[in-house]
Amino acid sequence: MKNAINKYLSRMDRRRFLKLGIGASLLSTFPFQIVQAQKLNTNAHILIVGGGAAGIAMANRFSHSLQGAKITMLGERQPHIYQPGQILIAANLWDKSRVITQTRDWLADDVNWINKDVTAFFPDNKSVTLSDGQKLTYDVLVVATGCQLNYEHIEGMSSDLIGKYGIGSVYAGPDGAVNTNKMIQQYINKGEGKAIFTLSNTLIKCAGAPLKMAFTSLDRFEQSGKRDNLDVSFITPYKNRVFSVKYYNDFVLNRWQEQGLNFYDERVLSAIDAVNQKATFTKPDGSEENQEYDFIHVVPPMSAPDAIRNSELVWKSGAMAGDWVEVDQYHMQHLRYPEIFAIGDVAGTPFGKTAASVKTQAPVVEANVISFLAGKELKAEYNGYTSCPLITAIGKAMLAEFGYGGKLLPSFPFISPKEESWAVWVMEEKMLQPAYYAMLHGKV
Amino acid sequence: MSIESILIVLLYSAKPYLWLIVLLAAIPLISYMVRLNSPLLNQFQKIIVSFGIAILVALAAPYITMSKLQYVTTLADWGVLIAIMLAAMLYCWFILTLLFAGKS
Repeated sequence: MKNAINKYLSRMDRRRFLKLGIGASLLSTFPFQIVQAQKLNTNAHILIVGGGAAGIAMANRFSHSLQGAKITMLGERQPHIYQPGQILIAANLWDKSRVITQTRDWLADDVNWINKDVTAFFPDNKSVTLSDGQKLTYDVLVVATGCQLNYEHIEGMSSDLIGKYGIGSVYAGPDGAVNTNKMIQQYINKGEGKAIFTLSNTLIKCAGAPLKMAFTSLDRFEQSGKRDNLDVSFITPYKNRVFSVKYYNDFVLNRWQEQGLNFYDERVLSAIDAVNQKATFTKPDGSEENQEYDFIHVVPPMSAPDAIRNSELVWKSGAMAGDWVEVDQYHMQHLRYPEIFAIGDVAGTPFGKTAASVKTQAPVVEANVISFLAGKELKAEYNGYTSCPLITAIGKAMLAEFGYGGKLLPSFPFISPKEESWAVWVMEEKMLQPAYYAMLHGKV
Repeated sequence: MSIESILIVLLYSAKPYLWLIVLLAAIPLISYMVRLNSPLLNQFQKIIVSFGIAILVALAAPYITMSKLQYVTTLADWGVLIAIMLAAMLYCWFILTLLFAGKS
């Protein structure tokens, strides 16, 4: 068959080739784009490290596309958390039961799930060690661990403090979100005092979440009728910046100015005195500034999990040196170990720490793993797509979709990426979770 | 996003509301089964009643979704709201037509 195709192509004249090219171009603009990797027969052992959204999506995709392969997924956590829903829990809109499902229920029958975490990677031997001491080898490794929340990097802070002393943090799982809501409500009930929203100086997952927490809380403060007595601030480590894409950054800062939010930049949250409700911020010159608060939203510094940071998988140089998996930002393949791929939060790409990024990365990683196993050139490319339905008030949102270089990449021609919209809110509240679940099944 | 992906997401989104879809499908059936001989509403009146209900549904839609009518601002928002209104109007008119079809 392959020979026949080659023979046909070699006989094809230029005019015919051009006609085919035009036809292919027209087809590529046709809306029915079906991104589907070809199937491959293989007896390779595919090891997926991480049982979150990216891990499950990859396991299910490989289950469809790799016939005869042994697919193993590693990850200790039993419940699966729909993390984008944590914002809605913290905003007092959702119950936490809406975001919790069981990991096993999402996995295809032929996926072997070992509920143990990896403690060490040995890429030169193509093996990993699990938390129970077991050693596993692989032909292809897909790193999908997600990221690690380093609350303890803020002096005096720990995840146990969330829900006490006015401390909230939406990132700390469904319980953290419930406790964050509790602290916000307590602050509203008090009806006076100072609220501080912070941002970390590391790469973070769902970079819109700290902004959404500020916006939804401001809305609640206004609805309570006590807004005038509430002193609300947002403190960022970056100079005049809270978001990587200029348009959204400017929009957010302007809106906050209209809403009377105090904005402070170039300050890193470095310590918390929980009992006395005091936060310390460090400025670029090393000087410190203490601020008292009645409510504080803490965004923890984030990194790759320690097992990865202590391995050969991380970047050796550049801005991400010592952290995040060193992958080619387009092919998601490790730059030194070609049999290793990374996806999701842990991948060392400039953008891509959202569930929406995983949705775009998953077919790319799938196609490239198949090409790698077939000994072919890797052709599928990730364009840096990430998306954030930026909630600007309870009931409206803006669909921020962009890729590498901050280029806007709107999915729907009828929805402007620059306008606040009720329809986008409905998508966030009603349709994002179904889309996410379809992604877990490997269907979108 | 491809049409295929949009359809898949719509199917996943509809899943929690299967009971509502079944109910909406059952109401025309029930209406047909209990159809009345009463000439209570003529065709014009059915349209007026349907239109009134459609307006109420459209006004309620933002609040049902935890939003507000004043947040319906973009072309897409109005498109969605008008689509909801038209669907509600057609559905009501269909039910009323069945309900007042009269028994032969």
